[in-house]
Amino acid sequence: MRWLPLLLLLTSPAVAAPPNEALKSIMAVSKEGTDNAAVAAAWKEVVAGGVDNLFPTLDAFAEAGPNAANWLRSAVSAIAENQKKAKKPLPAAELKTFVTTKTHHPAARRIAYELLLSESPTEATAVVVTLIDDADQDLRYEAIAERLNQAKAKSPDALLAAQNELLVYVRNQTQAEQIAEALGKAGKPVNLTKFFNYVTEWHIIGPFDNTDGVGFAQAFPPERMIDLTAEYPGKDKAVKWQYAQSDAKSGTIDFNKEFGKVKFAVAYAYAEIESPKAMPIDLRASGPSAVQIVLNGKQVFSRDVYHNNGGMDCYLGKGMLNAGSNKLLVKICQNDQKQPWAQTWNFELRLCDSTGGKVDLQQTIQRPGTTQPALIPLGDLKPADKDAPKEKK
Amino acid sequence: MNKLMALTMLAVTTMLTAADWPQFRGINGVGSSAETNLPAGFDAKTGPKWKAALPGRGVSAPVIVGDMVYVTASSGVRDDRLHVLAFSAKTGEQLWHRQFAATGSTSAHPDTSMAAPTPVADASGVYALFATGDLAAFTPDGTLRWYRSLVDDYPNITNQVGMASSPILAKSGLIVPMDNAGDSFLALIDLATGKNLWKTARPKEANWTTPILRDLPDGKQEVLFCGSNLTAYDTSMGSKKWTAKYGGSIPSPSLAGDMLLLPGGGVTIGKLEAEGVAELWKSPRISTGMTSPVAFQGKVYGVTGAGVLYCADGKTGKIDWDFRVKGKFSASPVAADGKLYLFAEDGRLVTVKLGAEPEVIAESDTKERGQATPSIAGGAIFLRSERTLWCIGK
Repeated sequence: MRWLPLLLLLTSPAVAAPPNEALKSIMAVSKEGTDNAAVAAAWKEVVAGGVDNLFPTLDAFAEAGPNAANWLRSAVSAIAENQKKAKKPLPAAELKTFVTTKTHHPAARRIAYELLLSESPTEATAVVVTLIDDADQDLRYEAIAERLNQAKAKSPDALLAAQNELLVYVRNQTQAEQIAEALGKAGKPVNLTKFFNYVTEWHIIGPFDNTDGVGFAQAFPPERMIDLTAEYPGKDKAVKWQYAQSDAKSGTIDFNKEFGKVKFAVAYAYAEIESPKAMPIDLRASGPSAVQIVLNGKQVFSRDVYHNNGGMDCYLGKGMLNAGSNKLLVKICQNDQKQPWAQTWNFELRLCDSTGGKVDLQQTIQRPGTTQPALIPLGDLKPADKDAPKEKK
Repeated sequence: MNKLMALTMLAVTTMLTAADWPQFRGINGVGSSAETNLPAGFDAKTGPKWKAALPGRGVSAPVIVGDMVYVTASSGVRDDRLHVLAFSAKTGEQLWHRQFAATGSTSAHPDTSMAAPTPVADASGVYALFATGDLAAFTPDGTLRWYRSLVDDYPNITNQVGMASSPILAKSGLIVPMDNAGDSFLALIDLATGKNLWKTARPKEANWTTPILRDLPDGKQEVLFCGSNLTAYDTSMGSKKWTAKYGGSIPSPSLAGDMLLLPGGGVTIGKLEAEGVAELWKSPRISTGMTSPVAFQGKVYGVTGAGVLYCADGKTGKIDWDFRVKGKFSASPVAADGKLYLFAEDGRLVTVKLGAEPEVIAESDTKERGQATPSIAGGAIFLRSERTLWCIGK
């Protein structure tokens, strides 16, 4: 009798049950389909187990890689579909508990939410509005969207108040832009460059030679030592460090503007990030060119791919910031593709927590016209050029 | 001799039977069917035979084998939810629906979708590839036979502007085209397990074409893949056999007998030789942009993005006529029963009666965006608009 509470706990969707052998087989799926035959047999067994296997399958997400997770996801689809075809309900109360138990894997909670939505839309909506700070980006997005919808139904003032309150929880670019636009129109401008924590000021150097793409793997002098006063042989002439500041809301540093449209080229960007404490950090970059990100001498991301149509945060490096000063080096390569859409050579990088939220950091940089490096906030954009021709209205 | 060969090609095209439409542009991608008594379309009064809501967007076409209609879709804020669905061709009943999460990049041109490659099917089920490099095989009852995250296997695959090349079925397995600016390859995948049988490197360039197959006299097959060049690979080993300086990276070629219809800088008709292509004629005027041209009943038809429909004589390449069709076009035309079916981006299926004087005989308005190439099977036209699957027929 005294084991009963433990037994109940183990069968509750709030606590992960140990995976059965079939789920273990799926979770261990290897690359390139080498054990797909065994995993397919396990998938059939899991689905045949019906709704009894629903929560164990969702639990298994916690230790599944992206490949295994998709075997699990499709098994959940099949289990739920078979339950519906048998005209039996899905366990709404347990699904609700699973969704709201934040120790479960975010993607599994998201699936549980969708099943709950199909079973009981009212309950699902009541749950989702509580998830504005959820680790799962889709749940968070929908929570915020639903809260905004509910506020909009009340009054324009309620909507504005909700937008003001919820912006801090937003992680999705489009949602942030929509809220920022609405708040801006209401006289409450939002600086999205600072909101997303883009690094907008860099020391840059280049171009170095990247003929036939070999420069991506070649360590040019900036990878061996940072000496901002040094001059090195470049692709066609000597190169030295120069200051660059973005004028784009998304913190873009455009090497075509800085160095000219050079093909088969390598550039580096360097920043010193000041952190109040040691902490894990997401280094989220985007841009169409091959990129490497090195934090305090340790490579945290590398992708030798050109002209990927990458949107915001398409590249993610996970690193550790030291308390105090941190050396951040980004290497960006350009190839010689001729297509009009393959001419861009730029990058953007922001620093955030694992949900994509802002982390309060500063950087040390010597701006032009100053004699000493200064501690500055992240996200300052280049002031508009007063002498630039005005746009015709 | 060349004219005779061209005639043979066009005759073979018309002889094809098309009870099924198993892949992008039908059997071996010819884009035509030998079916007759096909409907011209539908109107508000008659309506379609059936229609079914889809859970997401897609520019992939439906494929049909027997009573099974398979279609893919993608959805979500980041377009990262992938769907494979099966419907009854007769009734439109949704038979099953499976989901995956995208494991590759979903960044792409907004006009496309992660459900851009058309799946391929046979009696054993369906093989669905997504622009994210996710690849899955299902039996007709929705059992997952196998799944591959090609991006998990090969992390340097990049979804440049939105990949769209469709897989095809060879005798020896599933041909998976994965041309991109990173880890670019063509692979043959074992149908039973999803394992690689071979994987051969391709130029690191984006390419949206779908490969085609050539049956060789010894019973073997060659896969022909267009890109900046046309390259032939041995399907048993994946080794490159020959390359010809023809082709392009967007519209797809088609083959009937040993005659090739090659889009790219216009349209070229050529005879396939043992190792290469002998050009018969080329018409730079039939420059179709994103749509693939089609050979049908002795003629070659191609529609430009702006809606100029060309008809060229199959033997000589002489332009018989051009005809303005209202609308913009990114879906490829398909031909059957003396008609050409063109799906306009504004959602109208425009049916043109072919002949010396072309005539629009029906405009069927789906009231949704139209980007997917129509499919023809079992006396019906299957159409996928942005969020709806349509069956037009009796």
